[in-house]
Amino acid sequence: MEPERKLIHAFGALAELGQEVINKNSFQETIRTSLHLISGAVGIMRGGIARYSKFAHELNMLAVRALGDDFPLTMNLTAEDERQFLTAGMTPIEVSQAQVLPFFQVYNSSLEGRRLELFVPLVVRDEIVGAIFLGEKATGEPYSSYDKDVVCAMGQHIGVAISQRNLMAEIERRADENRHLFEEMRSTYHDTVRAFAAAIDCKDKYTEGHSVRVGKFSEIIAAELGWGPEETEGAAVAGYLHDVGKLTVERKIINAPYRINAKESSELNKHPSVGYEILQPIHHPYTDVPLAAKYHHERLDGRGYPDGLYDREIPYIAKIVNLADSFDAMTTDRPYKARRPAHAVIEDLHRNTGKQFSPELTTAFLSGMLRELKGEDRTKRFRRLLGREYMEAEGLADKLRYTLNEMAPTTPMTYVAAAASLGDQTTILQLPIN
Amino acid sequence: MITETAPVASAEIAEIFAGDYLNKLSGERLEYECRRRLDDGYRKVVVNFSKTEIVNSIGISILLGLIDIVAKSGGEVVFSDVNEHTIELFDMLGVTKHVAIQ
Repeated sequence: MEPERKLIHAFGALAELGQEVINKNSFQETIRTSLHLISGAVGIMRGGIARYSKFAHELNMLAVRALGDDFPLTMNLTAEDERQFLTAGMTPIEVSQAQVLPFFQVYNSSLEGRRLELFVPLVVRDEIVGAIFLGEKATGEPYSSYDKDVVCAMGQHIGVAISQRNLMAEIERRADENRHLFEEMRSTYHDTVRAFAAAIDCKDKYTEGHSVRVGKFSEIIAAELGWGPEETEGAAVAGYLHDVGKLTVERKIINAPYRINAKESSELNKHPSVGYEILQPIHHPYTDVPLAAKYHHERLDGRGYPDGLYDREIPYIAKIVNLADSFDAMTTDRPYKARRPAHAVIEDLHRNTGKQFSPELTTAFLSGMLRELKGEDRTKRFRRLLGREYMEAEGLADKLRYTLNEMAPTTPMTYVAAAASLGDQTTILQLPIN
Repeated sequence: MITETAPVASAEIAEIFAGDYLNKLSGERLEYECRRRLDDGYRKVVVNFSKTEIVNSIGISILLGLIDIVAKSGGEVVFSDVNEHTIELFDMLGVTKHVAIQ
């Protein structure tokens, strides 16, 4: 009768262990429960389960029961130990016979007196994944071949659990490695982009830093549109590289301290297409970077170049870069033209919205500027790019509020309210109230 | 409540009731109660199995651990009201060699 009961009891433990291994419990908890199950299946007073690190060649105890506080938590294996375990596979070794193993000799003093009786290397698919240390049976009898079979059957489940965990850890490690590599590549890419931007700007001594500023203004517009970090970064890169085609334009044309003639202008106007040719073969992590270079001089009204595209035909990123480029051109000194005051620039943007610039882009850009002036945005993005003095032009916030309202009024009456707030009676009389 | 304690005749004896199914959850609760009683100064712990129908492998392992805990604290543990079926299981796995059954 007893062998049958033993079998049923062990079968129950094995079934529970199988369930435990496939459950999504924490790995540590699974191993702790596994140790309970193996102890309870055979009636074992003490024991422990270790995981093997093939990199460090060491056994690390994951669960220990009644082995004493000073039981070694880490044990190094030698190549000879590994060879023997792999040759024998998952075979229980009586501790009395394990004394020949090199690692047992090393840790003999620590293992002695623990009443250990059985050592089971956990071998899964020809790989050592761990080991089980088992103490004396509660009956006081030696382990029978039946007991060893039960221990081995349960050891296989535990080995698979450890192996799965190792696999997951390896996947996580490789994912981390890939993430790290990706970050490095991304950083290299950005360094390259910035180097290109610097190279472009070097050609034009009067507009030093132009590409970098266009990148930053493009970034601001994308962020104000609510784009995600990746897309915003892509907009910045498109801005940095928009003038890359100028690398092939003669320096004297770029730096001409006068309005260039038609021939020179024709030469200069080739830079968007040349830029596209330069950027197109490169695999950019962001889409449309070459298109931004090619079409950043197009206008909504079709009067731009190189292809005279109309509104819907122009790639969105090119519209962003166009606004950023124009804004920087207006707000920096040029060989033939001084930087324009903030009020005049805003009026110019307003006047050209719908002709050159998309209304939603101008709105987003000016809203960002207004939020900074009102202190709602403390990043000081505009102050850094334009200078504190420029941003502190008198009445600039009101000018922005008025312009934004004019570009997207809720009702005609809001023109009146906005104009009145500026004390501008003339403007009120000119309002197109329908 | 899977387990409960009730003072018996002597103030030094704590009685803990095992649940109807002694598994991981109820076993850990039983172990917790036992440790708590030892910390409270009880030297003898009686585990009452009168309600217990099934003890699984984890339950056996926890009971063996509990016997070890009490022994190390210098106390004594007794299993009481164990049904015949469970006694057979305890005998088969050697539990009865380490604990008095009453």
